[in-house]
Amino acid sequence: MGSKSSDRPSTSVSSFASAAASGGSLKRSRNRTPQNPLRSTTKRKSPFADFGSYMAEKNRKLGAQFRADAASVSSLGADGAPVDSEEDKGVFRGVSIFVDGFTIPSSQELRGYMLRHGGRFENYFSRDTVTHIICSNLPNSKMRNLRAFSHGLPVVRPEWVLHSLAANRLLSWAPYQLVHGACKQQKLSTYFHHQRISTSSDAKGSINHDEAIKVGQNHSVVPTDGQTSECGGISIQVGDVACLKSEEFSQARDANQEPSASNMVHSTLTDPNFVENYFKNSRLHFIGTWRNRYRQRFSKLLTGVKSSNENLKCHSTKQKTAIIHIDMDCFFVSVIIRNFPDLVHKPVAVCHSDNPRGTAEISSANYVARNFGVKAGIFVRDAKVCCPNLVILPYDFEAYQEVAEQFYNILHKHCSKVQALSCDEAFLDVTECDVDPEDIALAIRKEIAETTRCTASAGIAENLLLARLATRSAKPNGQRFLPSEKEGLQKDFGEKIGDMLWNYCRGIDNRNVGEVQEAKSIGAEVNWGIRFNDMTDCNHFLINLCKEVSLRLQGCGVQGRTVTLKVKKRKHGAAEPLKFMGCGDCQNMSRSNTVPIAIDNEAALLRIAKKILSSFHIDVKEVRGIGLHLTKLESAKITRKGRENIAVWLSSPMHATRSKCKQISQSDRQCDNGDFSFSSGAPESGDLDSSHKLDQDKPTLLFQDAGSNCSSIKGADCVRPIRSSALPPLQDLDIDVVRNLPTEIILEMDVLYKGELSDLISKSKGNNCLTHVCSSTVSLIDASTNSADTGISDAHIDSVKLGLDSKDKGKMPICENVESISYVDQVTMEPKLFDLMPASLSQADASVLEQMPEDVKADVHGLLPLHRELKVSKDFYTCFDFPSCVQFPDPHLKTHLWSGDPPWWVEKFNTSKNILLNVISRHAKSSKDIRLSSILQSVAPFLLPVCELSNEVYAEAICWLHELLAQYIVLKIGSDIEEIYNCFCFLKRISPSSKILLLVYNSALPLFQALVNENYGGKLRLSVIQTTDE
Amino acid sequence: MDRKNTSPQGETARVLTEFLEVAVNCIVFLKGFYPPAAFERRRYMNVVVQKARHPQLADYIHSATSNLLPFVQKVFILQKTGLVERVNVTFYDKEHIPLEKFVFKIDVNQSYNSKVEESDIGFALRAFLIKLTVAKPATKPLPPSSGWEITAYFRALPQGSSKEKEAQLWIPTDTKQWLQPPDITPIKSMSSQPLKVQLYLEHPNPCEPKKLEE
Repeated sequence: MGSKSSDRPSTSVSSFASAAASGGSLKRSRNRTPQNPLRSTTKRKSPFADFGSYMAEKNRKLGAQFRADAASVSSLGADGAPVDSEEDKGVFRGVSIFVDGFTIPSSQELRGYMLRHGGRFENYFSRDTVTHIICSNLPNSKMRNLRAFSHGLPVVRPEWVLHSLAANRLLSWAPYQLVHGACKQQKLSTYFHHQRISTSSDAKGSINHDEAIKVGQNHSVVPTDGQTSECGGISIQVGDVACLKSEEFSQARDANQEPSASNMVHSTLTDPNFVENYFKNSRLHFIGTWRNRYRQRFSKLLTGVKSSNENLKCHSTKQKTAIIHIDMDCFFVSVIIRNFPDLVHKPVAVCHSDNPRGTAEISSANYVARNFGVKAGIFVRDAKVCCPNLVILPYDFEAYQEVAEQFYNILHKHCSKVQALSCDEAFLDVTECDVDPEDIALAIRKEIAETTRCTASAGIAENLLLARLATRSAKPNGQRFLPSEKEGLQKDFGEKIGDMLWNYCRGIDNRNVGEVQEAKSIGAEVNWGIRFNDMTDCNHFLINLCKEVSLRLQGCGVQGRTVTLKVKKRKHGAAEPLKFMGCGDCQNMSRSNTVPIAIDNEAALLRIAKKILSSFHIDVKEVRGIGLHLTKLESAKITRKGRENIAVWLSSPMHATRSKCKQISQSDRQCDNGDFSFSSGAPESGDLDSSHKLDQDKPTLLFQDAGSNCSSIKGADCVRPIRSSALPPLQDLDIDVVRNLPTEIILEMDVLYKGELSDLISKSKGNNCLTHVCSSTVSLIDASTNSADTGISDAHIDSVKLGLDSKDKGKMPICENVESISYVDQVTMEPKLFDLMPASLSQADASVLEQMPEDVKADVHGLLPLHRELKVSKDFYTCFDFPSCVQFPDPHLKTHLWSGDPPWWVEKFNTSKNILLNVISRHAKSSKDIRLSSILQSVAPFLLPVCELSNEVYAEAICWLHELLAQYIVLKIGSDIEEIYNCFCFLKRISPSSKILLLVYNSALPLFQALVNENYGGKLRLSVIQTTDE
Repeated sequence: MDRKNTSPQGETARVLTEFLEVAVNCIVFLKGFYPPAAFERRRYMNVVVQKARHPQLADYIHSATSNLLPFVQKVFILQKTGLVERVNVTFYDKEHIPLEKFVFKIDVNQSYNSKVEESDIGFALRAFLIKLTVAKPATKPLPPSSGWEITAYFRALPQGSSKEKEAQLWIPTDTKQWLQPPDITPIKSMSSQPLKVQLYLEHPNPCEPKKLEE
């Protein structure tokens, strides 16, 4: 071999010879070059003067090294024996390869093969020395200009070298040609194209081997070659056979018409039971026919699922879908090796044959083997190159069948919706299952592992695709949950923005072209002619700028929440700009301020603008430009409406209520005139209209609604301030506003105003006739009211203490200071008429009613419960001690008051003969909320000192209320301290005006505090809200 | 977000610890312990909340609350509830005497097995965050150079070697207990299945001795 390569005529070699002569003078030539500027002329003499000669020398040296290596290897021979026959000297005699890029095996290994088998290996490409270019991948540009790249030399895959070695002779390189697209993804249309090639041209037969198999599964291949006609009949029937044939066939061709016997063992030529044997050993056949077996086996379940599928279709859209994709880990291998525990950690592959030629395809490899690069579909011999220790095992279809059945049994057990993909792979829809999908997957995998002794991996996601992808990353023997990215985004950014982001990053945008984009920002900016001498100039400019912006805002009908002020400040050292009065070289500064309520008025803008400007801390002389912009715009219509309510509340503009003022205009006029001495007698109806007109011309009134009883209130007001100093006078309240408040607040306010408020409200609602009649008869509240009012709380406390002391005895004798309550008969009864209808009619002055017109009287009677008669009582309240005979409710009932829904007490109170309890029950029934705090708030006005009832009634009511509260505390103390706290805060706030509630409050508080201490180790502080009142 | 543990209790516990993190952030902001600029506006459960910007502060709150997760989930055998009973955010003066405690009393029903909608719990928890933003009047101003910490009270000491590592993240507290029953101001309560949370304030009793040694 050495002689062969040495006497190969080559121009480069001959030039080496001359270079070699001066090869030892590297240093010298280097030193010499600077002295000799005419390098080109001395090129020949000094070989390293330029790149070309250096490369030539390098190539020569490498060639010499290679030959030396080859000589030493070949003299020993591959197995140490001397090599003598010319034929054995090398498979690759006359072959000189150049390896381009990354290959498997590596270029160094290829070099080794070449060394040992008589070939040559070139480190640098040269058209003259290289005969074959070896590469596995080529960049696209080289691919396109393959001819220019290869100079017409064959470009082959490294397998050619390996296979030639395996065959121990030089195979034709043609089938190993690196064909454009052969290693790329195939288009569907090309399948058919290649199919022709694979069967008709032997040049490409084995290259397209993979595709041919794929095609073969679906399409029968009709070989056109005469030599394949024998198997043509079979291939028409079964696609698998065709591929097998084409594979074997091309192998035969490659062998240059030297088919070995082993090649033909399984072919149709020699094996009479070919078809039978073939199917027995075909994995694809197993998979292909498995589906039918599966159908038979699970037919019942499948039909059941189908029908239920239809029913559930509508539900599934609402719910978040959850899909599990489950796949056995290297099924074909793991089923086999479960019986060979010692193989678990060794590379194992399954293949239909393990013949020494290694032309069988590996069908499945375990993960250990996959780490070596063994993949399904590669030839055994390639696999052995990758992984010399690879254990090859045959199929065991019975075991596969058994495991697949177990696998699907388990799946069907856990989930009704199973879509079988293959014998070892399925989709489950677990949307309907209540259990968490990950738990289901865990359970299934655990059961599979226990039953089949093989592992499975699962992917969980919201759709089939993601689930399948998740499985891939979960393998081997794992599971992976892919949370919905959309949900994550929506959680982080809110529903809309999350949705938008999710869509945008997928290139989805559903917005339409068209509608006018609303302005995001409105403002004005002036950058020319700005020269301020001092702050006044600046402020003056700001005022005008704000005015301009305000006008622009109003013009657009919007208001903004964020005010941004931009200031251009002259850069330090910048000269006066060329442009007259221009801004010149400036430094831009910008700051913004967000206010809670959208603004558009000049004053607010100015205030904020000034604030921002001052925050810049700049010399106004340096300012060259100012801009003011508003963002976060809102439509002014919405905001103005909202603001008007507040404006009404504050300044009570009348135009809104004017339309309703007919009924009360009479009193308006009188009020305006400062005439509070209301004379009796109903006004003439004709007077109303005129007074109404009058009213329209008048400036705003504060208390037009108060009309009917303004006199009485005025009278009371002047002496009342001791208690209600925190309260605005009743007249100052705008009824329209009050009426729009939530009911609880009205009720609470009403309590503070002692029921007069609700009176006002009901009056403003209508029935002006009655109002006037009533107002004419209302008497002034006696001044003694106030003394009684303030005195009452002290008296209460004393009496409560008494009551508490004796509480345990089951009795509640409470002696009340008689004097303190004696005022009540003088309280005007009319205000109570409307809101306290059931309880207060008795307070009505019979003489008043007597004087009413007949129709009004009828109205009043119609409004009131029939069974109750009017009575006038003056001395009713003179005594307020509870009879000692009043008993607490039965002790055994104690635990039951709050049980049931609605609570038991509601019915109990309702059926009770006690009017107060009836009222409470009625409120509890009408409100959806059965929390005690809200019930208390709604019934509180009825528990004001309306004391026409007997003491027994009070005592009973107090006892029951106490019991109710106590049980409520016990019920809620552990879970809802806030609710009880609310109850007590309310009771405490209201207790100065309601004796009943005060008693209840004081009696229940110790229990409450004791329980709080027990449960929370502390004492409840009830004074938080009260602090302002006290 | 760790979605591995999604049993009903696990889900509830996860929501709870997440909520606690947000709530503690809000409390610290509410107290004005750090300058407002140290916080940024965020949205949680569709409520505007404040989140600490400083990495160390945010990390302290996050690690403290998220490390509660295993204990919230862990079943306290006697009562079928989570191991964590209370989570306190305590503010001290410079002598390390507590001045104010925000107490989250937690009760997770571990035997509750049906599916929990995160939105349901979220709705209730949202009320806490809203109430917290207006709870300022109930709190007391802090003196200068005060401090604060997060404390968790367990129903029993964590046991078992497997959880030892988690337990080691928590150190026994030397926070002083109240000597007198404190004043309690409830802020918000929720009582739903399977989660009950109550938030209240504890202030020292007026007759609480100012300093122990003196």
